[in-house]
Amino acid sequence: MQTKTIKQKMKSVQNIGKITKAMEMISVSKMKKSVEKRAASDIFATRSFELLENLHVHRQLSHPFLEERETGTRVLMVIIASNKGLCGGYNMNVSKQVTNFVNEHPGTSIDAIVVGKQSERIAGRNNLNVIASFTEFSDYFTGGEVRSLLHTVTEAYRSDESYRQVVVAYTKFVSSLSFEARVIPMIPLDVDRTEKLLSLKEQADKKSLAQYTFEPNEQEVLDTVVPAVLMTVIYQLLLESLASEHSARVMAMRNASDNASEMLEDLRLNYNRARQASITQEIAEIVGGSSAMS
Amino acid sequence: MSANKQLHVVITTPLRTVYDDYVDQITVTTSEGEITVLPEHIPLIVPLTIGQAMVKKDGKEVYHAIDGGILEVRHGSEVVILSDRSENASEIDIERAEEALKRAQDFMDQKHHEEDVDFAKLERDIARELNRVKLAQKGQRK
Repeated sequence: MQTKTIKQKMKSVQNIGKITKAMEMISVSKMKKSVEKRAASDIFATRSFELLENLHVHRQLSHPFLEERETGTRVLMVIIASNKGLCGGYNMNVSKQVTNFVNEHPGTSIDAIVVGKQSERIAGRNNLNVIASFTEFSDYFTGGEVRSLLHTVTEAYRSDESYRQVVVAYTKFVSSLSFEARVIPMIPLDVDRTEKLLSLKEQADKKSLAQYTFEPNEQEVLDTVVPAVLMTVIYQLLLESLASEHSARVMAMRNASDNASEMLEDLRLNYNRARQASITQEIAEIVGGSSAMS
Repeated sequence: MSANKQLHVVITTPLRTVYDDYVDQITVTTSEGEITVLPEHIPLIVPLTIGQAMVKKDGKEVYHAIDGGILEVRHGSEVVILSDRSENASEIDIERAEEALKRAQDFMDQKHHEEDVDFAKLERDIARELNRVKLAQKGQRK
């Protein structure tokens, strides 16, 4: 091969390597940030679950988001996936979980609310009816964005009696090396179950079951607490998915960078070989020329 | 001062924890009016409206803007405020808060005749920004 073309190839591989390296770095820092944010919201989550539990122990709570619906047949699914690609199997895994869920519930009509451009495709692949799409979320979810998502979800559930439940397809962040896509139920809210799913710390002082004084009344308190809890749940799920997305991207980019440097190594070898061949060729020509003259 | 004679106050939002300290008393705006909680208060749960939370520690007053939420007083002089949004008064950028207030008010004036505007939300926005501006001014005066 020509030395020049090899050189060009080397340059482009080198550039790709630089870009993937940079993307890896960016994703590492973004992942760390979303994990931190996830941790920062833990206190609120723990406290609000404690509050619900304390309430729950000494009387039966009644709130539309806490009660099972006997009558409904349909399911509303929130799918959380990424906006961008280049993150390995991250979106594929979510997609698989969604497909599993669809297969496990034959005959159930499932509507979807999607977060991220890729989830639009996932919903399309599984023939789900998309009722709302959030593809403009910034890299770190702001309170307003989460609130508008939650509002859409709760309004859809509240206004349509035929929904039996709301489930969320997201990716659980286990560590920076492992994450797991799954589908979990969100509404009706089951305090114990959701708490476990979010792996919040068990609080020891469940004994302090003080009879609370409610001012002005219980219902108003519940009306405020339950949406707040749902907000935390969805915020944490979003952040976990985001952290998983970034760590998937870190891995994908690390592989790409490794491949690029491997390829560069091969190309360098080829280049040296070609260069050596052309030098030998030139010398042979010179020698040949001079011997012909003499 | 012994710790059990003080209130452990935690102000937390879904996004972060704003305040966590032992204080002498706390005053909040509830839907029924202002209340002050002292140590050894009986367990209480009460919704908060847009307003402020003032904690007093060693004679000093610290203000927080509270964008609605829940006040929970637990056994053992523990107070938890679960709020949608909350800020320490000193963190509020008064110019930006004023701008946001003006924007919300302008929007309200402009859209006065249109029908598909969520006025409840707008009014809430205005109330919220007004509350922030007030608190920020209070914080600056001191």
